[in-house]
Order: sequence, then C-alpha cells, then structure tokens
Amino acid sequence: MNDLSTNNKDRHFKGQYADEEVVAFFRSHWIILLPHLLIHAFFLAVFVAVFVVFFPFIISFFITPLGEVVMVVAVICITYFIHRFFIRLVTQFLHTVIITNFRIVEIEKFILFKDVQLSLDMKMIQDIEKEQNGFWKNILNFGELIIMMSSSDIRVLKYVPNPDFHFRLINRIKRAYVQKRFQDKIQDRPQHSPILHENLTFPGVRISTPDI
Amino acid sequence: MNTVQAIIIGIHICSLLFLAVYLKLLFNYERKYKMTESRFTLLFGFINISNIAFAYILTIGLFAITTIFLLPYF
Repeated sequence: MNDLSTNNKDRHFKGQYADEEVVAFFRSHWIILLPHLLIHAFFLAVFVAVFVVFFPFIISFFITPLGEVVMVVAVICITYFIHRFFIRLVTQFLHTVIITNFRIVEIEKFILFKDVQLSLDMKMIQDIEKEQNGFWKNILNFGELIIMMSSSDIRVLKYVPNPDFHFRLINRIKRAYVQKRFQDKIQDRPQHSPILHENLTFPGVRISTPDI
Repeated sequence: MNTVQAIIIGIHICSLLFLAVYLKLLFNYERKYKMTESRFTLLFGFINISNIAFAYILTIGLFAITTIFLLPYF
C-alpha cells in the first residue's frame, strides 16, 4: 500500500501519477510471435540449404560482376532481416498493458519508430467481457478482453495471456475503486448541524421547546 | 580492397551503428521505467530483454565477422 511519503510519479511508465500503484502488467501472448518466427526459420533454412547445395556454383558465380552485385544485395537483405527479426522481438517486450489502481494503460513503444500510450480510466469502464473462443485459445490460455466504456466506446485488448486472471483482477480493482470514490464522496460532503428548536428564531417570534 | 569489399564493410558499419544506437535507447528506456518481471511476464516464461539484446549483438557481430573474413575468398 502507498503511504504519503511514496512518490510513484513516472516510476514505471511515463505519465504515472504520484499516488498511482502498478497492480499487474502483461505483454501479448507469445503466439503473436509464432508466424514471425516460422517465416524467419523458413528463410534461414532455405538460405542455408541453397548455400550448402550450390556452394561450388556460388563461389564461381560471386567472382563474376553480376555475382558481386548479388552478393552486396544479399548482404543488405540478410542484415535487414536480422534487424527486423530482433526489433520485432524487442517490440513484443515493449508492448505492455499495465493495470494500476486508477486505470489500464496500454503502451506501444517501438524505440525509434512508434510511441503510443492509451489510458482507460477505471471510472469510465462500464463493463468487461472476456472472450476465449477457439481450440488454440483455450489450449494455450489466451484471449481477448473487451472493455465497454461509459461513452459507449469499446476497447479490445487482444492476445491477453491468462485472460481469466486479468478479467477478475480488473473487476476487483474496479470494485475497490468505486467503493473508495463513494467513501471519499461521503467524507467530502459538508456536515450539517442538527436542527434544534432553540435555533429556530423568527423575527418577533420565539419558539420554545415544550417541557417534557 | 575492391569496391565490393568496401561496400560490404560500409553496410556492416551502418548496421553496427544502428545496433548500438537502438540498444542504447532501449536500455535507457528500460532503466528509466523498470518493471518487476516474473515468469508470467517473460517471453516463454524465461527469456528477458537482456537475453534478446545479447542474441541480437551476437548475430549481427557474427554475420559481420563471417562476411568480412569470407570476402577475400570470393
């Protein structure tokens, strides 16, 4: 729990409030990387196979002027694919959804290429729906969280790992948030002094309390 | 050194510079906004961002060294 001396400002993500606590965070499920990994593995296998099978031919071909151009293009392409592959892996790490005691923050940070931050306030969240339809989603335990906002806007968090846990967690935080707001409202309400008969005076009239 | 070798070495220098800048920015960001990781947040339950950065450096480095050292044989 936060005490008054704790300052969480910009501690875990840019724009974090001083009294905001990170309850949990998650990244997209690894299934999102699978097509990417398979494509790169396929190209690597083809490249190695071609190089091994046609090695004598490649050696003699690279000596020709056309071969030199092909070699430069091949080096450029392979370098590009290596960078692309690792940047995609890093992107997986930097795309986080953070659940705090006040809101849900989705951060898409791609270092040099993209910086998007989306914030969903707990007070604006009307309803949450968990969807885990399909064989693979149930076997590998991932799914979607559909968040209905009070402005009739719908936000979908895709490829959420362990959606059941995050669904229950968001519901619990939202309930705690609503209860806290309600208590704060009661405390902030102005205190009225009780109406006593002695205090009721009108010009020229004195209301006396009957003796019991 | 012929033109092809010069071009390929140039490509690798650009590649290594990009790698250095990218990793510097990445680790600056990571250091600034540190999150508490667990096996539920790591990739496949055990791969963290340092492992990926290490593999990135290794792959780019090995590719550059292999290409540059193989060049004289072509």
